[in-house]
Amino acid sequence: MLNILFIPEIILSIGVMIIILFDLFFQKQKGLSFTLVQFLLLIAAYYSLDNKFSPSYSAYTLNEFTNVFKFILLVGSLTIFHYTYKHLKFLKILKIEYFTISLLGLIGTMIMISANSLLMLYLGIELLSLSLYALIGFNKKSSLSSEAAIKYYVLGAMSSGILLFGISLIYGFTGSIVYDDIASQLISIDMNSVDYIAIVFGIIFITASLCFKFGAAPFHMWVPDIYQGSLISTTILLSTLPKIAVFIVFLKLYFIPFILLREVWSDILIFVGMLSIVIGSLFALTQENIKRLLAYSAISNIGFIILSLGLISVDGIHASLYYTVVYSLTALASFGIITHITSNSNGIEKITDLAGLSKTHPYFAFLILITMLSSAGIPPLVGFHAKLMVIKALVSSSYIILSIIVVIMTVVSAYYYLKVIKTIYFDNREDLISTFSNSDIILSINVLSLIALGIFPYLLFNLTSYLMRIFSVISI
Amino acid sequence: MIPISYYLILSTIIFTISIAGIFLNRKNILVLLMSLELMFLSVNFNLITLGNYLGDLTGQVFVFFVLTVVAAESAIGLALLIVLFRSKKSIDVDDLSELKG
Repeated sequence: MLNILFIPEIILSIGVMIIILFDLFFQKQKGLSFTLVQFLLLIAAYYSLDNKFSPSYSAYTLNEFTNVFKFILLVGSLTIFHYTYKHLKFLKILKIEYFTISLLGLIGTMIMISANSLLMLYLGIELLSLSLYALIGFNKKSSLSSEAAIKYYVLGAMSSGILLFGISLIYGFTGSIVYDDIASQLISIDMNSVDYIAIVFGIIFITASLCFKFGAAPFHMWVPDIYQGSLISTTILLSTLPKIAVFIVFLKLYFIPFILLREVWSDILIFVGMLSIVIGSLFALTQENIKRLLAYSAISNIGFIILSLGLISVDGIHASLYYTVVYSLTALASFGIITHITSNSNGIEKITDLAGLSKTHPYFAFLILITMLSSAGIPPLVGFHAKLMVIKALVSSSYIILSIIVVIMTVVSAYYYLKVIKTIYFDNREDLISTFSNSDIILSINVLSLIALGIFPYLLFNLTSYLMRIFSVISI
Repeated sequence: MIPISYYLILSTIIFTISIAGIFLNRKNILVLLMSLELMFLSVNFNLITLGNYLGDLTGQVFVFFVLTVVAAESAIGLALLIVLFRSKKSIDVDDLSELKG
């Protein structure tokens, strides 16, 4: 075996070029090119678990923690591509470029996860954002899609600028861009010096930018618009891959170099988290577009993750890890089902488009029932355990009032999840909705995992506590 | 010798102008793109100044990466602008109001 360290990244980068060339010469065989994409992801996923551990590389780290998350990302994008392919084929806008651009974004997320210097972090975020700009504007026929793309472009570029300004301050006043060196510089910092103030400003700038990329509350204005304007297949990508990657960036950046300044960012994260939960739950009540509804639901879920990160306790980090995995699974399932359902040979837009689904397609109606109940946090499903862990972490850090607000907001959010279920099971409508397949094996597995992990919570719990052990070894 | 704080204040002022340009501009998307360029240039100015002050090359190398990425980013931005113009026949900021809820 060759002694190469970043095999998954290298395989993906070379594979993307091969697929572009292949598609150029065999334009008719889209299915074959797509099989190549899937094959590529499978090889990369295999090698991501088998990857070498780098002892301590200055700019790029590989260890079990990053490898597991790369594996999750690769398997997740395999699922996303499966849904996307059918959806694009149905809408007759299937192009292999969609998958190559998504693969480049995937490489960006992998770089973000492994980044151990602020330069690498910036390059990873930019590779991801540049791909997302193109993917959001992919549906050139729709003016909504191009409007969403330009909105995301302006705001995304601005948030990158803010990130860079923060990075420049951190670099200038600690003298390094590598996480470990920053950490060792911050130990000896004087609380009353100018350097301290500049670094605090740097951290605030970086936090604002990362919260923007995450889609958390004061910076959430883009989320519903972009979710609504882009294709549903792009929306799945937007609501899973970047969130996992930004979460790992939060974990690695804030709990390794910035942990010494925890009093600066802990309150900010708790505030952002609470605001996201409240805004996400309240604003979703009046939404009629299913994608906007799921966008606000995503904002409130992100709020749970950020809130439990801000607690800076072992329980809090564990809860946020667990919540991230559960949220990704649920988002994958709920958007995946919607890609399958079509109304008047278009994608689903309004919630009322789903009326009467239980009569015509009981299978899909049941899948939506399970995902919505899981998002609402109804006990036998996995969403319940995730929310319970966050609330337990809040109580054990003695934030009693906040935990009461969180519980109330969970109840409020149950209203709009149940509204979707009510539309499906109790409303009737004349015009027919259709699906382009009667069942889908991967979708079924995805939804069944919500039930299985809910009934046997220790399956996922063991994985996350294992990850927690590795993470605590790295950070100390 | 000009003290370093002057440089930092200048770059902060440029940064603020670009942010104000993004939020106050109500006319044309091209002006938004210009404001974004200004923002990245102020960051570059900051990085070069601080790198020079520290006697460290990292800051200047960082600037090369930023310049490259920003060039790619503005290429994509202009491409999106063309797509937008084709579908809407206008690039006014006020016309970006179809997405609402």
